[in-house]
Amino acid sequence: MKKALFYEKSTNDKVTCILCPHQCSLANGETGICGGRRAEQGVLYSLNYGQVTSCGLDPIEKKPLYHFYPGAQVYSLGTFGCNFKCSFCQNSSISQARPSTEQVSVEDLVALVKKNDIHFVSYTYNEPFIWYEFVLECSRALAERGVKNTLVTNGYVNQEPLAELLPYVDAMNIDLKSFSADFYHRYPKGELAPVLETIRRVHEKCHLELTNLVVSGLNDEEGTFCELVNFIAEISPDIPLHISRYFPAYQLDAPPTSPQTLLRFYQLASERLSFVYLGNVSLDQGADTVCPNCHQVLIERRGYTVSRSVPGGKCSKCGHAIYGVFG
Amino acid sequence: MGYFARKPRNPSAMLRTNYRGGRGGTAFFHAFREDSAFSADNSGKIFYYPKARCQILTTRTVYGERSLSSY
Repeated sequence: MKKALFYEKSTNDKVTCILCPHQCSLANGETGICGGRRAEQGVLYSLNYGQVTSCGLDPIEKKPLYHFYPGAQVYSLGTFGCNFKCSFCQNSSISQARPSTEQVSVEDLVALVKKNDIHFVSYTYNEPFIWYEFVLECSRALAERGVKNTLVTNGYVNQEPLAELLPYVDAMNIDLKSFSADFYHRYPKGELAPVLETIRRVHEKCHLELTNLVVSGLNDEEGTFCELVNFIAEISPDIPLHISRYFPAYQLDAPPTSPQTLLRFYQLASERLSFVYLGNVSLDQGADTVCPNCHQVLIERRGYTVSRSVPGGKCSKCGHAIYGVFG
Repeated sequence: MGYFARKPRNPSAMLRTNYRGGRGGTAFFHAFREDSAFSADNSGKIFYYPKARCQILTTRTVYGERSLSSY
């Protein structure tokens, strides 16, 4: 176990984890909501430091990141635990359980990346912020070697740890699950406001894309979705939004999101945002990157196959600057 | 019933038997979902967690050919 960062000792022999907004107050031997941090004798330890449950070389489009080196392969890894408790989690076998792991050191990861000539790493699959100490050390070491670090996260983190990690992170996809505080209370069992604050901060510091998983009957109400879109547009209409199709998983048996709902949300979002995509579904719309100025198709996608690019980050036809990092 | 309750011993058997991976469709398609912790290798095999013991999986064929040389 690794001594954790971001905790405070209380007067009554408890420690308070201040990594995420849950701020778990833990007595000796207790583990936090995330399952990744435990109090022992007045010290908080990271249980998942260097513990890898899943890893693989994925297309960067699978994160999803569509405006960050399209077509790149990203070495992706995750641990166990999550500070959210979504009943529809597709990765619940690692996020809501304590599966077997493989011990990996920072040096192991650096060596693996170097040996295989990998230029992109993603901390993903479960919630990377609750893997904080390992992610921070890896990101720092890899950034020194020119490797790009990316996170796929729920954004539920306190601002101080976020600020300490951000200098080493090149891109993030944040899952904005709904614009309803009640939804966040009921399903992930967290708060909406800290996620919104994370989105604002991250947009100031690194490349940002957002995902909204539309779950049948849970967050498919148009009015709330429009509020979510308006929030994004007020930060920047150029932030890519991935509207993602839900499939039954973990504890939820609701049917998969209908293509009609996805297309309707795509239309609504496209009224205010420049780059809207549909994920986990193959439809005529919502895959390609199109110039918002002249409507030229800049990047074609079929599944995770990518063709064309955005040379210099500008539309090849009209020269309009396209949000993102295109190499 | 948990997602992995009916997991076959040989993951590639899922492709032959159209294993449905619980209630969310086939595990093969699960591997293609955004941020899925499943991965596919270039022979079409699906890996559960813990996958491939930190080997590098070549996903190019399964996920589609892409121009990667510029990166």
